[in-house]
Amino acid sequence: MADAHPTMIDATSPSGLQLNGPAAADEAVFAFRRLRLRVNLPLLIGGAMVLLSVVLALAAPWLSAHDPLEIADASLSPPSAQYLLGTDQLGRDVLTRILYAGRSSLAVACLSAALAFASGAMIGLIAGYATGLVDACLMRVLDILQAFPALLLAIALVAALGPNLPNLVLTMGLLFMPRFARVARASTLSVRERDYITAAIGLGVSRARTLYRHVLPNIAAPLIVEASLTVTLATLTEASLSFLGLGVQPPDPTWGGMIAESTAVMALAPWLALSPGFAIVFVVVGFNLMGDGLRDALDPRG
Amino acid sequence: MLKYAAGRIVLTVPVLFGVSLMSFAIIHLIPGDIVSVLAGPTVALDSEAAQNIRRALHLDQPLPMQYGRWLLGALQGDFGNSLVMGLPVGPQIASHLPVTLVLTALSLAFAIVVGLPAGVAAAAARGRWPDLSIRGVALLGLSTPPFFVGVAALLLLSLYLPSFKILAAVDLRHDPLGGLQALLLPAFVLSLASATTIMRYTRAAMLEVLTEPYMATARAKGAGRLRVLIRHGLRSALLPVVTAIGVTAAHLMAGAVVVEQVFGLPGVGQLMLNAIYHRDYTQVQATVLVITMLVVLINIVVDLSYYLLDPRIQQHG
Repeated sequence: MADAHPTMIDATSPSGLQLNGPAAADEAVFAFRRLRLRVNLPLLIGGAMVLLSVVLALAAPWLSAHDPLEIADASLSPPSAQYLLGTDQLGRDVLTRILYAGRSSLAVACLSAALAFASGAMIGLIAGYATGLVDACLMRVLDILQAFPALLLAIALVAALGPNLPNLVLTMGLLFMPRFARVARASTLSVRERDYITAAIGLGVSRARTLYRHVLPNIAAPLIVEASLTVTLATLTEASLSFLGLGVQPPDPTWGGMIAESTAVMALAPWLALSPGFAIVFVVVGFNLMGDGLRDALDPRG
Repeated sequence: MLKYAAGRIVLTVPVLFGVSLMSFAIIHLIPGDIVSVLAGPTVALDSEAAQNIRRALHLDQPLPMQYGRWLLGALQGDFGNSLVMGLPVGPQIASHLPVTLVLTALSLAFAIVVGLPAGVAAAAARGRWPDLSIRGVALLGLSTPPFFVGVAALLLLSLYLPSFKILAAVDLRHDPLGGLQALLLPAFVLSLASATTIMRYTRAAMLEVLTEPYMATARAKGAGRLRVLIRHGLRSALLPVVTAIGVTAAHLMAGAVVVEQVFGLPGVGQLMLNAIYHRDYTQVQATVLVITMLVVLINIVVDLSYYLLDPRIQQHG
């Protein structure tokens, strides 16, 4: 559209950009203030839980006196002062393994959500801004991806590609991408009719720059909410995959994998199944609360 | 109605085509030479076993031909032969499907029975303790992977109720009642996430309906609180709930794969996982295709019932 008006002000001329600058900056400050004002209880609690999980996972090597693979003591010893959550059937410290498992779980969940965010937002922006045939084709591809039950496709794809961290991120990123694409497309469709977009086009701002500087900041809020909810789904999916033996491979610990291993010795050592399960629930509740809180904080109607 | 249904089905054709293409592609995503991966590294590439795999997958033909051949077979119910057993995979799926379908249907029933009243109660008590506690439980339900609920349930039962038959054999054909009984606990475990979804949809829909003027009218006429909620409120709020059922159907089908593994149930999920562990990718392909087709079918039914239930669509569509 921008190139259809060659007589308009040159996009690179400083005056053209300045005309546009203050309005965008004002809007950003306004949105930021509103975000700060609307901080709410779920957001605070959820944020604190997420922060705690991330810090514990990152600090695992310094927090724990043991190594996740080290065979520390007699197998299946119950919780004690030395092994706070006991040891597993190979005599490895359970608490240490839970902390280290958090590293891979959170890495897979966050990286796949980030990949889905980036690719989905781009596809949604293009579809919503281009409309017409491009939009229709992209949306049909999303329809196909979303027709599959997510976990089912994840199981099949990871099994075929091989279960390791990059493949998990790639597969789950692909699975969650349509969610962001739909959100981005819907928001773009409403934003592209606004006056400031028409103004940007009128000023001859290039299409890529319009999308990046003027559309993207204005559709960011729903995408951020979607991101925190996607991390919960990603964490649960990763847990299910590793429970089925399709996560990061042993001997590296995963929460799902620890639960799966524990089922064989459940009657002898019930603590083995429970503690990794609670770790999953803690992280997912944290992200869920954060997502709900963010939605309330960012939703202009709320 | 017929026009609407036909339109809806025509819209599904490209989706089904894409789904079949992706299911077909699964086997070609395996990195490296397919034959040596499937047959194992010790098998020589010109051996009998390797030749069998090449023949079974028609690897000597170009990809579009392979796909066409596979799709034509699939349309007639022939999904190829198992790479491990050599038997056709279609009948395998057919014999494992009933357990999964019954499990999913039972779970959906549980989810509706729990989620619907909980949603109505939460909306009616908005902001007060019943609402907050229902939402708190829902948050936990949404945040707990079903396999962990399953393992925890097995653990608790084995500790405190050792007489409870938890891992009973399921044979729906010869012992339907016993099979159904054995599916109760797994179905309940599987239903938690869906119950949460249905609760949330119901609550949101009810909150919207509660502000409608006709609700105040009904109250003013002297109708009881419960009667207003159910007769006037829930009736109008049922539509989004139907949508929720469509949404959860896909979750339930996929969740069944994991729950079947926890409880050792002989459903398609177990079939697919065993196929994965044995690198029987024709079986995996076919199972993914069949389950996804079922989910697509369920969503068509949901859409059509939506049409029947909502007079507004009938006028405009």
